[in-house]
Amino acid sequence: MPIESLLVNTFNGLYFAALLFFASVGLTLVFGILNLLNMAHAAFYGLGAYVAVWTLNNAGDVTTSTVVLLAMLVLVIPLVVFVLSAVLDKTVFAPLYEIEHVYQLLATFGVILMLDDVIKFIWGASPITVDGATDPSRQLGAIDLMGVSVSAYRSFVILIAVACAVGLYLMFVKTKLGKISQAMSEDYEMVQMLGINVNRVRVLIFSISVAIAALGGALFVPFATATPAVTLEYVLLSFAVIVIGGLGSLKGVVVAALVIGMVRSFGIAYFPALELAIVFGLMALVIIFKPEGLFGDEGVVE
Amino acid sequence: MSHQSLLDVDDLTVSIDRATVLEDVSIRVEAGETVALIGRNGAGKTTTFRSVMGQTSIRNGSIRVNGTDLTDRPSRERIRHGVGFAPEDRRLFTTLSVEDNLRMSTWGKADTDEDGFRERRDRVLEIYPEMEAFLDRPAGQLSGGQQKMVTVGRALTSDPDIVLLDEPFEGLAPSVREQFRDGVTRIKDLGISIVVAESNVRHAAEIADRAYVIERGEIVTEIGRDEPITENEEIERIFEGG
Repeated sequence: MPIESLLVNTFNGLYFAALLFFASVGLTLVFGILNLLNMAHAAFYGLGAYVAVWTLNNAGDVTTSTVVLLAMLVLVIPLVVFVLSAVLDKTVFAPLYEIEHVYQLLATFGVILMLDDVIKFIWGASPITVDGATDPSRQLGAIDLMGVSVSAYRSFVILIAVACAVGLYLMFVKTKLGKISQAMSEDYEMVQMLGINVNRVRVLIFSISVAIAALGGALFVPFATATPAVTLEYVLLSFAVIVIGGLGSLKGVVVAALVIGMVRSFGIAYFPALELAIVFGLMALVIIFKPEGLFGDEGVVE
Repeated sequence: MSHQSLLDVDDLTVSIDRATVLEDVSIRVEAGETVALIGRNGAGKTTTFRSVMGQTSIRNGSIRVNGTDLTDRPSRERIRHGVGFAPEDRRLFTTLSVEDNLRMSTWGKADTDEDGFRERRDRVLEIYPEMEAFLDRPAGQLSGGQQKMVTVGRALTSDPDIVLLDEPFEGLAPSVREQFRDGVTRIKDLGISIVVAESNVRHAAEIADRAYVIERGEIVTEIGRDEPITENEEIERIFEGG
């Protein structure tokens, strides 16, 4: 294999791993800490994608500054979704925490269908894309990475994913919220008995998790189109990530996202017809040989 | 009733999955007292504690702490009214350090800052000086006896008026047990009330001022201050041959 294509495929694998990380990390946190299996999680990735296209395409009247556009994707959209999901947690999701996982899956599948219809109602069923003038990926162009030309924007997305993973890790081991979350993942009831308002922690963890999914969708869209199929694709992929990584493990999500990202990138290069088959074949192997996932028997940040 | 107890459990009836597990349980604890709740395994001791902590569905009766009715209040309010709980199965947060385990109850009570926490932690260290050596270790790496200490310590860092100790001596080696009993004595000396659930009559008799005997979810007798716990008739009947 020529060294250039090795580098390019590795870079693409990292980019894809970054997107998978955004789409899945909240799913594993919400399960590990709050014991909610939220099938609709990655649907917020799709929502983030649509909101980002809409935002970028309407930003042109005000500004085409790359910094401002990136700030909208990285800060404003996740923040708006954070507030929205805090409301959703209190209303739609609150009753789901108390029921069995299989009912959680059914109920949150319903949430996917509703979100899907909301998206189609607002933006229609046809794919939508970002206009050239306000597409930060086109504005940023390419950079040279060890002799290979790669997208500067994709490099930026990979860096944001790394920052996000490190930030989450530090939050869990250093902050009060993170330590209480770790404790809740181990013994929810005991945390209550120690006087902690677990509902408040729940809203925060849920909203942070959903906001990260929306961030992923927003970052994804300058390079691609927002379509209803994106939601479904990432719902499936995010489950592959957490099954392979192990439910409830931050490390598991990082490792599984990297593995799937690489497998998919090199799979597309060499066996394009088998792209998804390879990913889900990998998932099947993990289920057969290590059903709890690679890191499923560990805590959130072990 | 004009007299107000520190803890007043009155006619408590609790069901789990439609089966009555506690029936008309009444327990009163005054300030500074150490009271034992004696019964065999499965008699309802842990359920009584869990009910006081707000973790069961109460069908009838009431739980008052310092005169405040907490029967229908959320679990998390217990600690703010001065109730600490050290469960039998320890239930420490194994990935967190011992110190963070202790910190958790000050966070829950939210009545003090980091300096206040250190003060309370140091008071716990006076009761269990050996804890100093493993404050930074993850709680999951400790021995069973060390974990028991942290469990009691965690109940104390909320600065409680009363602590519920569920089988505090269970599974401890005799030498550790003695150390532990001295710790309980020091908690008494601080003026904190204690309810200790015990399936071992001798252990209960060593530390308690008086006792309630529970059998099949009902209090069968109450043993007063002037009566030796080990010589009570009901105790002899329930624990005969062991």
